[in-house]
Amino acid sequence: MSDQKAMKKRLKALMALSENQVCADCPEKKPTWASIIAPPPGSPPGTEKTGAFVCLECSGSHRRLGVHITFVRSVNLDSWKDWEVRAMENGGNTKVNVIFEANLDREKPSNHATGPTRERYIRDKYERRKYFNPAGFSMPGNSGSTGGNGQAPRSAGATSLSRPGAPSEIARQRVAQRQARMKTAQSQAEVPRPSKPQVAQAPASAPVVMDLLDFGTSPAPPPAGPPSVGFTSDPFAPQPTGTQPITNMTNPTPAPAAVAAPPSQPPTLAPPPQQGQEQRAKQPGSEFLTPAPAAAQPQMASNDSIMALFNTPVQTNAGFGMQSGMMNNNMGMMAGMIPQQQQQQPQHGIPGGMMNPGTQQQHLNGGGMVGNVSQMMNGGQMTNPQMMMTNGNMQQQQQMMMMMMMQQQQMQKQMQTPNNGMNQMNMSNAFPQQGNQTMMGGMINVVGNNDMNAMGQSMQQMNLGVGRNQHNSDDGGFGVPMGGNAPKKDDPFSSLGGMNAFR
Amino acid sequence: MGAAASTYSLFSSVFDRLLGGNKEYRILMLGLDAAGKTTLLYRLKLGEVEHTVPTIGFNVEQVQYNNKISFVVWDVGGQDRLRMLWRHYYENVQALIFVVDSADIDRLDVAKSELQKLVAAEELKDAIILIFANKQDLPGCVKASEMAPKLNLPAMKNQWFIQPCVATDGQGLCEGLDWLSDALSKTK
Repeated sequence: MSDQKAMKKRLKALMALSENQVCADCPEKKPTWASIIAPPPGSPPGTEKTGAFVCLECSGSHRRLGVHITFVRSVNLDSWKDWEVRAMENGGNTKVNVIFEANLDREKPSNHATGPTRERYIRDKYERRKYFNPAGFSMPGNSGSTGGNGQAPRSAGATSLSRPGAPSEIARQRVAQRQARMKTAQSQAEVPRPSKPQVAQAPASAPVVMDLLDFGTSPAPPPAGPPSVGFTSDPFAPQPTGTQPITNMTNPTPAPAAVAAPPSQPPTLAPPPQQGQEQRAKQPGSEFLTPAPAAAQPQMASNDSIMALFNTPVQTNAGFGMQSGMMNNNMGMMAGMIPQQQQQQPQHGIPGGMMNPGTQQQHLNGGGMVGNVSQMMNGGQMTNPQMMMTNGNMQQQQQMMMMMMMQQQQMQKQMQTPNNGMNQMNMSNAFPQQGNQTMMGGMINVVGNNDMNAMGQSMQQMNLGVGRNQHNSDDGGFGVPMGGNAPKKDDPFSSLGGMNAFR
Repeated sequence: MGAAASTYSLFSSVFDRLLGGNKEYRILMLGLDAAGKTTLLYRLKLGEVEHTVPTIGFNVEQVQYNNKISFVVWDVGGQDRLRMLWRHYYENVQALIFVVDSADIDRLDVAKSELQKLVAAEELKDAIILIFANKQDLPGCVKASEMAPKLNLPAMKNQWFIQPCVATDGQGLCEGLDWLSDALSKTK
């Protein structure tokens, strides 16, 4: 565990570097996924793996390349191995792009690009290596600014200051990146950012710009009184994990911790409200929400626990809450609430009284606040649990769904690009438009479940089929499967064959 | 509208039962991150490949197979820290689909231990297990036959079956589901 903490610390240091603040493949900011790239054939012997930080959407494409090309990890959701972190240290977005975009002759996809567009580009870049120049491998990782043992303060200092002789290539790229960033910089957060040097001087409170779910970032122990923010969603959060989420949460009005933090921060806090909601969704202002002295990791018992996952939504909500007021309020509460329940009485459902209002709220939120219709539909399609899970223990299921719901919500808000809004659950909503009958996108029961049930049921009547793959033959198909403990299967192993039976 | 709708839903479910005798099974689809669960799910559901991003949370779809069996398939994110949440989905699951990236040889061990954890769970002790050895189209992938011992399948008490497949083009999926529906229909 402490192992993991150390890894995360090193990763955080890397992520704080400005070069890694933009997805390596699109202009999306604050990528929290990492792609570890195997040195392609043709690279100098002894070349080590490199790594780049990419956004959620691009990571989807990276995963499709196969692990022999790229191996994708989430900074927040995966535990890391030393070699993986080393690969990241050896890489960095600048270096990776110097290598893989050396001969780039086209525009990179925008951060609103569709999945297939991204994939085409990413395959060109890493799989077909159309723009590849292995010379870049000799370049130091992460612009040489981090050593590897990444102590937060140090690397934070190094962040923007020391950048050894950057080849013009790099310079060019930086400019391009910056431009891209500007272009998409709807976030006022961007504006104050140039003030990085200030950050450096702030002693231990380093990586200003570390959003990121949870790990590590914990503001100084919150001086008791929950901040003044009206919509505080925390009442529930404190219990399980210790308090830092709260502080994060409520930072929009400078929480105690924030106040203590570098003076340059408060200004950044002000602007959010002006921003379009969708953009908020994308970057829930994590950086101004988390004043997070990197060094402060002490109370992180929670880091590796489930709780950590749940704490996040809380933060996000805070961002939203600033704008859409009370609705979020509720959500936040729920977010906070779940972990609590989790811990204390895993077997108990969420009390009905709580559940319903909460769910409704959620429903509303889906439609109203994110402006994301599909999300709302998700809320609605939610067939009720009995239907989905035959003979279930309802309470438990509800609870489970709640959890899911929170996760989902959290994710949608945190990770979604404003318009590229269809990851996860949303996917299922997207499908019906293709003439396919998808039912139940997301769960989470209740609310309009009645009519939704009807919908679900009628869907049930349709034959959804397995599409053209369907066939009833008994040909061993493709490859030879085998099984165990199946009464009817005679010697499973005798039937093994080659993969050549691929149809 | 609520009342009318619920009447309708009641009616339609009865109707449904009379007509098709459709049995609905709850199926949990798990596996390490990037194994191809979501791709597989939507391939089953839609017959085409969606561009997916890492699942954070879960997806669930109802998949009707051969007109006679209906699966409600829960596809849950496989990232390390999301695996802690798997257990919340165990209940009332009749079958488990465990998806493995056959090209990710380095992590077969991890897959094995995750699978072992699953079968050790009380709620899953009767679950039927279909293993998809996915991504058979990638270079250097492990064949299903080699994978079985690597996942220690033969030692499993549950009824199991391993099926090589390529979720992106659908190869092998039907065979897997054939087995699954067969096996399920033989349980009580």
